[in-house]
Amino acid sequence: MIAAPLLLGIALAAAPAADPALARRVDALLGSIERPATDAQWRALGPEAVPVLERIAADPRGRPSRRARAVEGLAAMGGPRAESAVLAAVRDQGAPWPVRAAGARGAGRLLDENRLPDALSPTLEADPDPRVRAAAAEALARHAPSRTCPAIHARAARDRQAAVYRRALAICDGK
Amino acid sequence: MDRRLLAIAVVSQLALAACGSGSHPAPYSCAAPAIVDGGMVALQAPATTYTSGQCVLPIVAPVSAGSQALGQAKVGTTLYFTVPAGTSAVSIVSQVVAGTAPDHITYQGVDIPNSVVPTDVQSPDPAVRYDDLLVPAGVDPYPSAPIFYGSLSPADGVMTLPDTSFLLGRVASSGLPAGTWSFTVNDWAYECYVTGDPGCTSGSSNQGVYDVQVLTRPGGVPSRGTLDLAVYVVSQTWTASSLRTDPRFTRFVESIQGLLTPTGICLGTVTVFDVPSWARDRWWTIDVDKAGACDPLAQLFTLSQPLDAVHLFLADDLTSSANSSTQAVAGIDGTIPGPSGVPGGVGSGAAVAIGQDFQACQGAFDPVHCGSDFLAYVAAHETGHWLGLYHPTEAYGDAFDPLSDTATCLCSACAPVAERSACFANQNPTFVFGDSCLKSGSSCGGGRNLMFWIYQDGVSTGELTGQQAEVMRLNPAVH
Repeated sequence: MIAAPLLLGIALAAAPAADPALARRVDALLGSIERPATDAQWRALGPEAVPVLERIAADPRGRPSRRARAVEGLAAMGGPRAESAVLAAVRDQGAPWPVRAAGARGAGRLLDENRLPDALSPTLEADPDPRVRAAAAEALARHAPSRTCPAIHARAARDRQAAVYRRALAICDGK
Repeated sequence: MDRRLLAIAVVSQLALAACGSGSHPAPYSCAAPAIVDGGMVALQAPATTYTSGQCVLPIVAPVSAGSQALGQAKVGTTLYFTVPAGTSAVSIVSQVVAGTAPDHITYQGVDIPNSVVPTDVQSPDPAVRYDDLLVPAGVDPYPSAPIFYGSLSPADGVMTLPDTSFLLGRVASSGLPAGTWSFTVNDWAYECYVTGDPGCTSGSSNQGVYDVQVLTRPGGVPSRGTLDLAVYVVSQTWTASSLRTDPRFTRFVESIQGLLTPTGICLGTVTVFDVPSWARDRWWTIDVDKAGACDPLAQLFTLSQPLDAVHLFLADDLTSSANSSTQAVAGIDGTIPGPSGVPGGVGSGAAVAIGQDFQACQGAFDPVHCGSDFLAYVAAHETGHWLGLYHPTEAYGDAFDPLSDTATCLCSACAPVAERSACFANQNPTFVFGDSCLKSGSSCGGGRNLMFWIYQDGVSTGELTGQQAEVMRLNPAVH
């Protein structure tokens, strides 16, 4: 059986190349050092940037931080295709933890209070990396506090690495 | 390939790549730095002080000889110090006395850290002076100014000279003016108080008290130097012992070395420290927008140990919420320049987000594909800030560093034509990116520079100019 990452790599290699100017601009926004790109900058790229970012976010050969930034870009751009890619990033257990964490944060931006708990509760409960669980907890605490703070408290209480939930719990507790 | 040979290959390749725009005196090579175990950090305050959320605001003593202790003084006080003949660099280090100065001021509706910055700096030469309230006119005025200060530095701040082309030239020809210098102890809260500026709507104060040290560096402009790094592992993945011996970290160090080598700076000792588990749990992820002295980033930096070095904190995750969402940040500095020789304060560090980017890589420096090289690029960029370098061009293409041999990239002249109408706009201004700044010469360039405000795959090569290298070599951390 061919490994899934290899198949994805082949698919990515076969995808049409992006417009070079657009690719350069995407590269620039992915490369900020001390300040992240603004939502306006991402959106100014236009919808043609979504498949470019999608490809970078899912590229198993890519630098994890670059993939995570691409997920953030997708979350800023919004729309059904971007949303699908962001949720895929959260759920991709083969992806590095920063990519999944960026997906959790992105889901917090894209989904409303009714959809977010269903999308991120499995991550809060079961992601193997405490940093991803923490990112999911923080997104839930920020965007759906009334529905999720009891679950966040409960998850933290039985987590060996409870300290990672500090920021989420502070939001829940209004500190 | 033998690791040592690999290191030399990487260094040589980078030296060729990075020498493009500078006038470095000679090609250099460096021996592989020593990577040593620093053990667990020693704390300046009980752990419970940190974990209970109290603010640690230490006043730390210099770790190197040659300092003049000027004591504690209130804002508005004039202090004097001596610059011996043949001095090539001076640092004025100010550390707040806890509880005396406001953390923030509100200026024109924006909450900003109350930065400490000496003002009315007077040397025996009337041409070498500085007034923090005077803003020189012109598009790029600072290279011809004697002194530049552009850092946010709440509580603790450092003014290190020379940092402009004008003063670099003076130092090269005759050294800094010898004799008695003076300056006024000052912070932005005091500037609000003194000027009565109506833009200051909160934080005006004349109560700040600062401990002041002056460090002087003898000799001319060195052609070479050695820089030590202190590295702190603040991670849920790595400990100092697991990271220090990992080839991915070795590659990271070698690549930092490679980026610095063209400046004549070799890494000496890289000391890797562990932090306590409570510190890892507290600071593995940090919101860098919280820029006050009692906020997490500054408090983390108080773990820096008494070594004369650049202090790099490798955290799993750095974030910013400035754009109404939580987004990743690659690196951040405490202050520009860093407090070389006076570690342990709230500005005594630079942080790099390591995420899951450490990778084992072979071959030439390749930050596009090799995560360890990308991390090295960010670490070298932050090290450049520590050593006194600013972005040659800031994000909006409207502000430039104080060096004349770093090309500028003015938004209205260099951004894509369709985007120029939004240059300097109040809402969603155009940003200048590296690919718009690739011309040779003095304008619309600098996009490949290590200190350009972004890293851009396929554009950034880590170039440094001759004057940038001089500023770095003159920093007290380089010996």
